[in-house]
Amino acid sequence: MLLALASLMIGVVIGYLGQKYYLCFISPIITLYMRIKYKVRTTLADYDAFLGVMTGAAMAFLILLAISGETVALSAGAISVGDVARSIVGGFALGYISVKVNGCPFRKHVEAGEGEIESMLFIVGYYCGIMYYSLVLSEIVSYLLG
Amino acid sequence: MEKRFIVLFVAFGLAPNVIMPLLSGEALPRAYGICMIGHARDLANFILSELSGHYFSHYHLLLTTVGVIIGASIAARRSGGLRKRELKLGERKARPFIYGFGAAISALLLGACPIRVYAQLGWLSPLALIGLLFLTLGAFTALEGKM
Repeated sequence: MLLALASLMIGVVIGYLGQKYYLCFISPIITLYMRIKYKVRTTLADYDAFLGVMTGAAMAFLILLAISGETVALSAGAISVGDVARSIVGGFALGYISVKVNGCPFRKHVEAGEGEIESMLFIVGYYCGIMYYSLVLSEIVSYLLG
Repeated sequence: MEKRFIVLFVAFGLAPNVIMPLLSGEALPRAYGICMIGHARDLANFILSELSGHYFSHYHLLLTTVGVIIGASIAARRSGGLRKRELKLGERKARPFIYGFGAAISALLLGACPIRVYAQLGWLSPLALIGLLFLTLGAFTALEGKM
């Protein structure tokens, strides 16, 4: 229950900040594309969504290592061919769809909170997709990719 | 240093990735502080498990995604950015639904949303590097079609 409440609080805070700062986590990739394709001048600040999360998580990693090695599963474990195949297919499709809908899943949740109807429909589809995966696809994927 | 970077560093990177594993009291997946697909799956599968009596894979009941919608709604009300728009007759209602459906399945295959991919990179995950590479390729492909 504590974790549910903590996650709700974290969600409220990041949702608030996401709306306030217009955060989208696919935008650094779009910025990179604009730089490569159209030679648009960019600075490190244009990639802050990527750099901020990555460096913050790296700091968290170091703190957790310092506190205890047992609290968190830090070991990467073996990477199977199935894991790589999932990352390739899932990564490509998620990147493609995020551009098509003008935002990452986080951005769509924020827009749904703002009252954007299309984003609400996206979110309904999103949760239906999760349930469909759990009920139907997960066993097929596990069978095919391990 | 820009305020926006500090917000991203603390609220999206550092704080959740320290708080969540410490509060869980047991091993959570790597860099599981914020994941818009993992936490959404935990919520959906918790509900499915409760309703059906069968276990559907989830770590805990996590309400992060619900909180994001509530937080964004509060921020929008405060800033006057709340959008009130009815769908007009003839508008394509199925397309966003289908994209949402596809986004969830692809993110579940990837095992992460973009936030968690970035966080996993901070945790030195080679799999996240592959995920980011193909996330980028997918986005570039869509952008080529758009531009």
